[in-house]
Amino acid sequence: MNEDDDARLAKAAMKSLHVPAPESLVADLKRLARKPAPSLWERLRVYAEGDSAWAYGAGAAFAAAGVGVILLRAAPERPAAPGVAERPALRIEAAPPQALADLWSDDDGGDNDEI
Amino acid sequence: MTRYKLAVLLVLAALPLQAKPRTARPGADALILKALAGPATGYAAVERVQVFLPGKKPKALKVNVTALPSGRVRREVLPLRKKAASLVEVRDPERPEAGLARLRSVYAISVSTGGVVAKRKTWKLELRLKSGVLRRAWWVDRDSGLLMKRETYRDDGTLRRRERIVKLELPAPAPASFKLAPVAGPWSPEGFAFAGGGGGTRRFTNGLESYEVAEAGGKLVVTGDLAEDDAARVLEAHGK
Repeated sequence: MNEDDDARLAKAAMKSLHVPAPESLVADLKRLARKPAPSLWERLRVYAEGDSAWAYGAGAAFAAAGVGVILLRAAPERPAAPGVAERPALRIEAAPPQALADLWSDDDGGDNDEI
Repeated sequence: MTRYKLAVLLVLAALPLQAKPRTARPGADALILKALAGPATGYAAVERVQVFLPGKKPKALKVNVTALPSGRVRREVLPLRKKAASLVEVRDPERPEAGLARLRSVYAISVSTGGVVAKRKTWKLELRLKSGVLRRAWWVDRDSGLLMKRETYRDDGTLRRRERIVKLELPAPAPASFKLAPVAGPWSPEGFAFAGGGGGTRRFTNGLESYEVAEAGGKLVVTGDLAEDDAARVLEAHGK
């Protein structure tokens, strides 16, 4: 037997094994293919409403961010520790006039304590 | 009069007896001495200095103030740019009696209730020129004597400058000493530095305001943006 005979026999075997798909399955597949894809908002709504892991993860991240913001805002801004200069310090008496001028910024003129 | 009315009257009459007694208003001299001496403990504060130039937007800067129980004060002005060096000055307090004598020579002083500054109850001192013009107002902490707020006014009554403690920790832990010591040399108001001179004139500035010390007719004269008591102290310092 040569190679051409092998191919022919294999083709015949495949043909005999072929079973047509059921009509109902074909119809379902066609219906699904014709159905328009859901919009982005629709998919988001489904995610948000559902009990999916995504929804729980997003909720946890939102809560963590909220707590982080509250903690950052509540952290007291302490004045510099006495006698300790964190950044390089220069004596005012030796400062050039321009360095002194650069210290001032626009202000609202308010008369309040620091929050 | 029924018994009921009599009882109500008695209750009303007794109410003032239950009221908290008011703190007696201190005398102006005693209060100034207390303010010039400063608190007996160390403290840490954030001070906001505002300057109101006519026809311009107000300008401000922030100062971190720390003080030792001895009265030595370290003032650190933080620059706007994060990496820039901060500017520091260290000063010892003047003898309170000398400060009082100078203020008394320039101003008539009165005391009134000052309200609350940085959550501290204060007395208010009004310092008026002999002409009646209000030049300065000081708010002094009732307990410690710390100067919580200072305002300086122009001749027309408009606000020229405000220095206010906006955050205070008193008492605060203090080191034995600061790294820097006070600079020897003629006194200048807080934040001012020598900016140059010539021809017998010396100019000082804080970057926004300035004053000059000049010699005219064999006498020293101070001109510029200073209240009368500061000008007098500058003259004393340069005359030494």
